[in-house]
Amino acid sequence: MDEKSSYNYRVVRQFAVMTVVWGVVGMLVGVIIAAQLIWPELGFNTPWLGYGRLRPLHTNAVIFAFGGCALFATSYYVVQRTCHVRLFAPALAEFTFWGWTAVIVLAAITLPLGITSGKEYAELEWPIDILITLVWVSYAIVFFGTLALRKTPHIYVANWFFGAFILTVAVLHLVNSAAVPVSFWKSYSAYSGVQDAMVQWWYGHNAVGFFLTAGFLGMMYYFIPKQAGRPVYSYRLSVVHFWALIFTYMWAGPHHLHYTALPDWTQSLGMIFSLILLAPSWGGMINGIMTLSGAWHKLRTDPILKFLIVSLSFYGMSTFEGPMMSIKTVNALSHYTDWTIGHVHSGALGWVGLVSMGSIYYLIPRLFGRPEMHSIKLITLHFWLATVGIVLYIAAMWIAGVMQGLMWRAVGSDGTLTYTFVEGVKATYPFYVIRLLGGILYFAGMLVMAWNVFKTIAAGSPSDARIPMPAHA
Amino acid sequence: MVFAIGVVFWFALASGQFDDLEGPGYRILNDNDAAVGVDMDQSPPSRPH
Repeated sequence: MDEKSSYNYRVVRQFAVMTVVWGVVGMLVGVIIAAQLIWPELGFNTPWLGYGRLRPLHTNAVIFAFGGCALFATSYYVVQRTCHVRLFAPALAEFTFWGWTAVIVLAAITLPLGITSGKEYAELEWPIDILITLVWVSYAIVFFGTLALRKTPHIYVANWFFGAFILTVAVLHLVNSAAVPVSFWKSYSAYSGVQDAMVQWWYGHNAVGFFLTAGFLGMMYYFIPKQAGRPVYSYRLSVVHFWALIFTYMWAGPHHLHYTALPDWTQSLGMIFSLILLAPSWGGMINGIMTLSGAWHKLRTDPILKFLIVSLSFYGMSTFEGPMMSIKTVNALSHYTDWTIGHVHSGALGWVGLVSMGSIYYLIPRLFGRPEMHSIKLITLHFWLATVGIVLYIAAMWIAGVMQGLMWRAVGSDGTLTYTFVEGVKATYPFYVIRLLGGILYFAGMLVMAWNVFKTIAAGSPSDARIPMPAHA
Repeated sequence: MVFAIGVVFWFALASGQFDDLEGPGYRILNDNDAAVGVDMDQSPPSRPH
């Protein structure tokens, strides 16, 4: 097909397939480290198999490899389809794929070797950070260039979310990764002490807010209406949702540093903005779910829609839980416990994971010239494996977290601690087992997806779609 | 940063991005993205209400 008159699906295909591959890898590492918390011998006294090195590998693989590839694939697809124009700068788009893949591979090598800057969710050392910057600038040029060339006057709301995600992540990465290199694989942060902590969590929280939320909301605002065959419940509300979220998210970071050396007023400010965030988050969730109003029956038969809608329920749950946990008195109980881990996974497995899987199920047949996925039954199976897995995971972590918090703060009448730390660890064991079970189910679902995607691709062939010509041209 | 966001918001408002707050929701549904050569009606036109 003529290049000019068709969409660039090639790069979308590349990222979509790698989403599935990295999903399998990242979740497998997650299952391994969950098992290590029960049986520490599973580290085999090998440094690069130790929990401390595999844990950042897990977080980087699921967030930036799985989540990142899903964001690249969907944003490239959505921006082309909604702007009726082929992707700008195809060579740069190709570079974003190979560059991002190189970043992931380098992460998979350096993190187990113990090469790390020690900043949570930004562990990669400075040479890799520079490569990330190059890839990200290219991504911005491709995305905004495509927007600029659009044939439609209006910029669809999903593109606003994707655009905000791309710009903000660029700023976050540049500021937080500023470091002084002392050798090729070692650098020290440009900030020190409490400033370093504040910059780190300004980054950390906004990575959640823009990488893991805004970007995936872009996905939600395109794929839910498309899969449901209905326009978003209120387009007006979606625009309000966008601006409210953008204005408030930036200020919530200090809630990660309650009761630390950070000035008290900064902590309280962070808490208040976190509470305000509940409003736009729930506005968006309701907007997405109500898109199905009048078409609820579709949920019964369409497993892809199940993925997308249930992801929003988890989005609602974790965006309620988050502001609650940011309240200082609640945080005094929850912080440093496994409750936080439960909260993160309710957002990660429930919201980010399910919405990505739903979107990829939507994309794969369209990218490979098939009417639908190889097996709809297997999508349903995946949905139930994933949902039951998440529920087991987060329920176990809630109970474990509250229990730990209560045990740690318990004091006798003479003021001494009632429990030693290790007693808390011992009491947590059963919940670690339940968590592992939940993780295995979720991972099994991902394997089912990989098989289904493989069969769909094997039966089809890469297919590019024609760009519609304006009727009145 | 907030000012930059404010400027973008103002610019979007002034350029008429928010003039029609219903049509765009329907417009993405009119875009049939079924795979080439596949005759399938994934997104039936929504009923008027």
